[in-house]
Amino acid sequence: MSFFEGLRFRRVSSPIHNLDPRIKFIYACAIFVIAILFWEFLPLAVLFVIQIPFVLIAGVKREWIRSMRGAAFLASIIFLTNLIFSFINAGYTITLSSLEYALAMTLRFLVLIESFSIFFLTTSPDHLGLALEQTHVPYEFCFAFTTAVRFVPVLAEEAQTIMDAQKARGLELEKGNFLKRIRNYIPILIPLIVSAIRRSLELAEAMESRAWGATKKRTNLYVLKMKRNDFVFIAITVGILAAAIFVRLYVTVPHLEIILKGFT
Amino acid sequence: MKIDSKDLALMVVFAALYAAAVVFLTPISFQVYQVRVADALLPLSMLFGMPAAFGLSLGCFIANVYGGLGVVDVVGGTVANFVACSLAWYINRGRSTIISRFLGCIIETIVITVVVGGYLWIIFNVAVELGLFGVFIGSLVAINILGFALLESLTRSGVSKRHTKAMS
Repeated sequence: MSFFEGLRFRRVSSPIHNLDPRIKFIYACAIFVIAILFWEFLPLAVLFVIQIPFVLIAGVKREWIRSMRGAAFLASIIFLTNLIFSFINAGYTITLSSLEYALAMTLRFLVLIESFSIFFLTTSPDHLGLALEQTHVPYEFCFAFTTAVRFVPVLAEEAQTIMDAQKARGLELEKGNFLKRIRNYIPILIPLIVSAIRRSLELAEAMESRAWGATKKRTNLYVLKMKRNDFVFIAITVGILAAAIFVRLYVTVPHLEIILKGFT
Repeated sequence: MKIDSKDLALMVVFAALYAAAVVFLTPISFQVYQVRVADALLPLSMLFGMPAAFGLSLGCFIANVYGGLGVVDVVGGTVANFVACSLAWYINRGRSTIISRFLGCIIETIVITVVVGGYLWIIFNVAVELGLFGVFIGSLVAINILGFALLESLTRSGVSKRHTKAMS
């Protein structure tokens, strides 16, 4: 049930949680751009490490480790395919540079996960909906987003009920060969879809009865405002971005090979 | 753009359904391939039209963002779902036959394979053949076998017709 933890509304207060979601999004995008700029191991490692303080300040270490663990499978695929193909292309030898390249690609992936984790782990769905609304995304989409997030646990509970009911009628989900197991999902999915559609009708009626979309101009209880911490954070982001562009343009990034030689 | 509340509600519910299915119905794994059962919902866009297409891509976004399953797929998966669903719907608008629905399923599989395999290749340098093939098998089973069976049984039972009738 770990998934629904992420969707539950929690009021957590930390310097990172209190930042404007828009600023955090700009930060995640900046890190994304920087990660694409580099294909050497060293700068990507630096990029990985400088984000860790943010995770610690936000106090989301446990969730962060969980999302990293979730990414481990794809990360290892990225590492292995990079290594294997450069192994074949280089004439069946593993060179240090090909190893570095594979490591760098894996690290690039982890950096991306890390930066977006910081954004999403510290922004509650309601906050994100508010931010969308105040960046002039059409209200229909903001409403759809926040409402859909609320509906996920409801539908998951319903899926559980349907699954239990079908099991009680003798459906064996884990039995049979591959095709049989695929087909076993039909008696679960069809009632689920039908009840979801019924729910959508109820939702539409509720919206109509509350005059949804009747007024063009909406007001909000909370209004996002930039505070001092927001400006500090955006200054840090711009600093990192500027440093990265400077390094990319004017500094030759040392390869792992050279660094290792320096040690021996 | 003006969306009426019926379409919006359908979109919301589809988004929640997809997100719940991604996490709740655990992927069936078959040797190295993972079949995402939630992808079986994608062909339903041919039955319910654009609200379902919007909803399924929103659902992909939510599942990837708050699912703790890794945020790699946020942009790519969302775009892939949206393009696939709207193309399949576009082919089947007006009158749809069993053949055009099957064609729609195949197009969805191809779009998802190309988009997801493509960004795995461009950004992380995963070998293009491997990425494409892995994604292809997974979505082929989910969309063309499970999803198509689902679509056919729902079409025959006339669920969407009843839905439109109930609202008008």
